[in-house]
Amino acid sequence: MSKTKNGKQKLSRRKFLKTAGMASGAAAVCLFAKPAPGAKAAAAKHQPLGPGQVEVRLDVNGKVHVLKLEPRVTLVEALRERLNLTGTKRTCDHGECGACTVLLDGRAVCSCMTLAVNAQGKKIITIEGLAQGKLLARLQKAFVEHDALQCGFCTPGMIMSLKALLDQHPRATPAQIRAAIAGNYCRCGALPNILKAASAVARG
Amino acid sequence: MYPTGRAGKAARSPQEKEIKKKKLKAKVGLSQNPQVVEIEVPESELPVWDLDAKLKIVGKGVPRIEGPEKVTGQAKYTLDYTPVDLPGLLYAKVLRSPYAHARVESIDASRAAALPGVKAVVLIAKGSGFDASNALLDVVSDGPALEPQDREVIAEGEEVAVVAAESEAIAEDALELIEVKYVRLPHVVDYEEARRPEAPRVHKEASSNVVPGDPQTAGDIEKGFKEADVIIERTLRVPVLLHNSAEPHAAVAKWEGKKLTVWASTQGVNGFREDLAKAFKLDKADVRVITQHMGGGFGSKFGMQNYGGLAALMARRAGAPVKLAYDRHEENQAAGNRPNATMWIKLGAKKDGRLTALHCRAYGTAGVGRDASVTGMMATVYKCPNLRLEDSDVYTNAGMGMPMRAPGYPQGSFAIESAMDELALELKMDPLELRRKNFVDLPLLALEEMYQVGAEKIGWSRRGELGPKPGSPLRRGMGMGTTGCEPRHDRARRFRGIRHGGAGSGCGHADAGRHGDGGRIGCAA
Repeated sequence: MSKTKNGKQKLSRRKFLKTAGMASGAAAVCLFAKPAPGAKAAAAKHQPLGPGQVEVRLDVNGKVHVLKLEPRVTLVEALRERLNLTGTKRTCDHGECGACTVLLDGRAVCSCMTLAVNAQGKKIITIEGLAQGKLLARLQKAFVEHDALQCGFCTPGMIMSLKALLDQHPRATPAQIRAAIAGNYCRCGALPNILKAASAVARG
Repeated sequence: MYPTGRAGKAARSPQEKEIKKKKLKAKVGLSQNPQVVEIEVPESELPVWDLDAKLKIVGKGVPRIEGPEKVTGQAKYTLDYTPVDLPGLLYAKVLRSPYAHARVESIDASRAAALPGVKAVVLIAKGSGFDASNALLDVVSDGPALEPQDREVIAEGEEVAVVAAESEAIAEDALELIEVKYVRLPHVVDYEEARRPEAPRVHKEASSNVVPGDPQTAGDIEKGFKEADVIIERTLRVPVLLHNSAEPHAAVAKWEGKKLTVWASTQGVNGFREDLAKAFKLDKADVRVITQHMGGGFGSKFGMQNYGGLAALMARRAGAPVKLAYDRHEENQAAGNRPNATMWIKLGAKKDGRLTALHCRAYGTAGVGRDASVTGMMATVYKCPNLRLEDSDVYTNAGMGMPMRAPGYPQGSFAIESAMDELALELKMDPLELRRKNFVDLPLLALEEMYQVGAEKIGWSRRGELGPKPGSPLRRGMGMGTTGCEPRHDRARRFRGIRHGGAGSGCGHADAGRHGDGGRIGCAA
C-alpha cells in the first residue's frame, strides 16, 4: 500500500478489509455510510468478529475444514495458502480477472472478493472438486479435447464459470456461454477453443 | 539481461563458424505443389524429415500432455508453492519508490524489523534502475536503518527495501512501517520530451538521453530512390504495451548450504541460473532453477531480473525458503514493458512493385533500460537492394523495456507492413501481389505456399465484397501482414526442424502452453 504524494495514507482495499473484518459481513458495508433505519437493531443481532484469529468452518468440495484465521483473510487466500488447494488462482486480487472463480452454493463468485468468514455455511466447490479421482468431468475432458488452454492459468476460473452456467442451463446458447465467461481473462488467446469446448458440452 | 543483437541480427555462437556443412535435398511445401529444395546443414546432421518421410508421431495431432494436470488444478506454478510444500516458507514484499526521480535521503526500517513475524529486512543502498540485477545484490545494507547516501531512484516503482515475513499480510504491514525520506528531483517520462537537450538526464553516466545504434545499410539509398517510380513517406507510432501475464513474476528460493534451488516463473531456466550463479558467486553446478509450468511470459520473463535475485537474497538472509511474487500493480509497473516507437519510413518501388529503396529511422523508449530497436526485422522480410535502417534508444524515468513477442518485431512489422499497404495503394496493386514481388523466401519456409493457402482460406480475392450491411453501424475489412522471427538461441541447434525453442533433451525454454512439452516429445521420437 502506498502513501499519496502529499504523505497521506490512501484508503486501500486491504485497509478496508482489515477494518471490515471487525464486523460481520453484512454490517461492514455500512461502516462508511449513514446507517439506514433499523440498521442499529440489525447490527445488534450481528456479533463482531476479531480482532485476532477466529475459528472458521469451510465446506470445500464436500469436506469440512476448521481453520483459525483473521476475519480479513479472503477465501482465495484461505484456499491456497492454508488448505493448499492451489488450483484456484490469485491473479489480480480485485475481482477483475476471474481466475479465482469458485462456486458458492452453485453460484460463480470471485474468491478474492469473498471473505473466508462469509463463505461459512455455504457449499464451496473449487476446480479440485470436479474430477472423480482420475475421471475428468465433462467440461474438463472437453477442454483437453478441444485444446481450450495454453498456459492454463485462467483455466480453472474458466471451467468454474462455465460449470456454474451449464449446471443451471445444460443447453446454454453461445450468447449465454460468452456472457458466463465475460469476467474471465485469458492472456494467451485460447478463447476460441474455450468457446468450442463449452459449446460441445452444451450440445451434449 | 536479455541478449539481443544490435539492429535485429541474431547473436551467433562462435562455434558455428567452424562447423563443416553438407548439402541435402528436401521436399517441402504446404499443399499440392511441393518443391524439392537444396539446403545446407552441419555435416553430422541426420537425414532430414521432409514431406516424403513416413512419420508416426510428428505431424499428427496429439492432445496436450499437461492438459489433464491443468484442467484439474493439479499443475503447480511458481505462485502455487505453499508452506505445505516448503515448511517454514516466508513471503517477501518489496517497497517501491513512488517517485520517478528522487534522492533517497534516509531509510529507517527499524519498526518494520521489530514487527512480530518479520524475519528479514533488506535495504537497497544503491539503485539498479530495475536493470542490472547483478548490481542490485552488491549493494544492500546490513542494518535496519540507512543514513544519507548518494542513492537516487530513477523510476517510479524502483526497489527501495524488501521484507520477508511469515505471511503476506505481515510483510505488507511491515512495508507500511518503513520510513523513507525522499527529495524529489526533475524527471522526464515522455520520450519526445526526453529527446530534447534540456531534458533532465536519466542516467548520470550517459552523456545524453538519446543513444543511437549502429545503422544497418545495404547498397545506396540515394541511388535507390532515384530509380524509384513511386515513393511514399510515412511516420507511424506505436505505444508502450504491458505483457500482463496471468501468472505474475514469482520466484521461490531455497538454500541448502551453498546449494541454491529456485522455482521460478521464467521463460529460460538456463539464463536465470547463469544470472543467479554470477550474482551470488556460485558454481553453476550448485544452482538449480525449476519451471514446471508458467502462467504466461510473452517476453517479460527472461533472466533473473530483480524478483529472482531478491527472492534468493531474502532466503539467505532469513535462513528459510522465501516466495517473492509481484501483485498485479507491480506486474504492470516493474515487470518490464514493450517499448514504444516513432518510426519514419520511406519506401521506393518500380511501377511493377519491386522495391528499390527502404529508409527507416526509428526511436523509442525502454525506460531506464536499453533496446527499443525495431528496424532490424525490416531487412529480413523483403528483398530490397538499397536500405538504411537507423534506431535510437531514448532513456526515460520509467520501467525497463523487455521483449514482447520477439524484441522489436511487432513494432517494426507495423511500420513496414503499413508502408507496404500504402505503397500498394499508390501502385494500384493488390497488397498481396506487392508482397509476392518482394518477399524473401528461405528454402524451408514455403512462404509462397502460405500466402496461397492463407489467401484462399480467408477469401482474400473477395475482400471487396465485405461492404457494410444496410442499416448496420459495423464495418468489416480484411488485411494481411508478414513477419518472422529468427531463432536466437544456439541451444536450438540441438534439434532438427524449423521451430525454435525446444526439442530433444535438455531444453531450457519453458513451456507456457505453446506445446513445448508435446513438441519436445514429438521431436525426440
